[in-house]
Amino acid sequence: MNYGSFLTRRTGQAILVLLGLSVLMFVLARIVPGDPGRLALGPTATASQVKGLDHDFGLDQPIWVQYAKYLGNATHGDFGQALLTRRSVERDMQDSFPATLELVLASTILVVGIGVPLGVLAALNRDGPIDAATRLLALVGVAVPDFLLGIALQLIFGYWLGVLPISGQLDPNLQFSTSFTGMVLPDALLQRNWPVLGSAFTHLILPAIALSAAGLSQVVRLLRASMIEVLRREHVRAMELRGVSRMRIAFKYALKPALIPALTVVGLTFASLFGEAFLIEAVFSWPGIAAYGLRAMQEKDLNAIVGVVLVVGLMFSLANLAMDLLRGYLDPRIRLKGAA
Amino acid sequence: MAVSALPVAEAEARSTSLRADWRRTWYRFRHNPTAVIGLIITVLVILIALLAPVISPFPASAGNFVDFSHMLTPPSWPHVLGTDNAGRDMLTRILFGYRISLALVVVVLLIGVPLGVFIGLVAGYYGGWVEAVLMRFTDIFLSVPALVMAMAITSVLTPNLLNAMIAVSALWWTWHARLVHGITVSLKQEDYVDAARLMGASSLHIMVREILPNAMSAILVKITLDAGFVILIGAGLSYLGLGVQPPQADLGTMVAAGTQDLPSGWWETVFPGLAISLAVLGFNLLGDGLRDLFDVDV
Repeated sequence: MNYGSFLTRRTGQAILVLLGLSVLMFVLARIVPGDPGRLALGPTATASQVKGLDHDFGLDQPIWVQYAKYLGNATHGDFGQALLTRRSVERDMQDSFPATLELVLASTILVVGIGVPLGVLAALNRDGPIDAATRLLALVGVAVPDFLLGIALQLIFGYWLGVLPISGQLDPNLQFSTSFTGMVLPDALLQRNWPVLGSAFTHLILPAIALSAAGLSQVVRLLRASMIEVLRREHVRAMELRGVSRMRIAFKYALKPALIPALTVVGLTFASLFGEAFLIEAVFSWPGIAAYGLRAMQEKDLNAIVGVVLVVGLMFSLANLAMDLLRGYLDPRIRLKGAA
Repeated sequence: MAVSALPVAEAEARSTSLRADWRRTWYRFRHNPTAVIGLIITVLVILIALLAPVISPFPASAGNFVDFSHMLTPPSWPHVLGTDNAGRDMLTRILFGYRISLALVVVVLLIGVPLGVFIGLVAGYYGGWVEAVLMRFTDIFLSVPALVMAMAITSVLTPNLLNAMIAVSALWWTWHARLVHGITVSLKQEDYVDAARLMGASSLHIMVREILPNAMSAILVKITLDAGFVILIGAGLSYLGLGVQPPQADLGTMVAAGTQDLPSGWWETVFPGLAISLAVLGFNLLGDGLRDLFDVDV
């Protein structure tokens, strides 16, 4: 399979899956709860009132017409009104999405920036102290729920040491409106607003650490395993015999082939962070789209639930798609296998 | 005589070799410290869940019990892990909490694993459009992080333990479908599958009697690792208020309730959280150990 048809095929799959997700959410939010008009008006409304509402909102039309309309609206971002905020779900999500993206990006930077060097060092010092430390990190990362990690960080650095803020995105005394990216930290940098930059940075530290732990431990272990495999190859032995230094071999020659399997995990981690963010934003009162979605779910605000789940699904699928396309580019064997 | 003696001898030889196999496996298992520690923790957690009403010091604390004279007692005798803001014994509530966690695991795996294995077998064996439809359908459920999908389902259905079980089961088959699909695709090219087909075996026979037994070790390892993830996802749902509802003693709900009393009442949050971690750690260590033992890629 050449790269062009691999790309078309894989992209087609992603679109198909997203369409499937839209059907699933339609079934979940419009069909499972039963009579939507009755739900909106409550038990005291008369049958004719319910009928009138059903007619006004097109709820008396055949279900496939309703689905087509819902899908048509969803493709240009229209998910209707949120009961919670009395605003359009689209606006709510536009306002809250950048905060989540900021948190997820910061965590991804931590995962890659700490995970990759640590994985390489663990592979070079196999069975040494660094390796043992990463093994412990991997166990903690998998077994400790990230909301507990978040609470522990709040207790230690917020309450007991009192050095870092434990909730929100910015000091409430600071006024700031985002401009270019919608994210506080980059926009403060662009506007050269140093107090806001400092405050945004300190607020970001704990949630970003709590969010990154699980992915970090996976990346470290995976990179360690693939580095050990690469370091065993003949050309590495040859370089060692010629006297090339271990660090040069590790970071200049062995890291690149070892990164391909790790790329998948980084992609999956970035995507799954949007899921874990629901827990971390709750712990740290982070004003992101996950916190918005959580509130919608707690209040059973169906339009907002559908909007948030579809946006999270879109991010998740895009991240996976991008990683697959990149891997297919780097490693032609994946293109051949990538059919099913 | 000679005719009947042969099968007997063969059967004996087979059972001896099977026993030797088991002994060898058990020997390797015993010498894998990770697996042994995992097994010990897992057995401990299961025993606690089964015996909670018998071994807990204050069984009344498991329910809607209130004792304001003992509220928020720090860890001390007789409340070794302290009490919560209603004066209930934390140790008792944690021991009972394991029952809910494990009930969730059992239900989810009983529904999710057979369903996923069946779909994976059918998709992998038949290939073609059957495979395409089934695997794309599987992808849909995996197109959103599991926690978010489970949250969406429980929130629409009304959050409680039963609906959490339904929501997580509705997702969990997907991983087993993917796993078994992959194994089936590679196994159906094996000679013994061709041999069975040449002897006229039905598709069902080939799937269930030829392919499935050879996928069992991978499924078993996956189930062990699953248990930990199901506990985590259940705890996450409850923590967010979309799973088990108070006053039922659930570990995630307890963590959430305890955060109101931070930082002074830290034991209310930290101990149930550590209890979750311990159970997850046990299943993960056991799963990792079994994975090394059976040498499967899960």
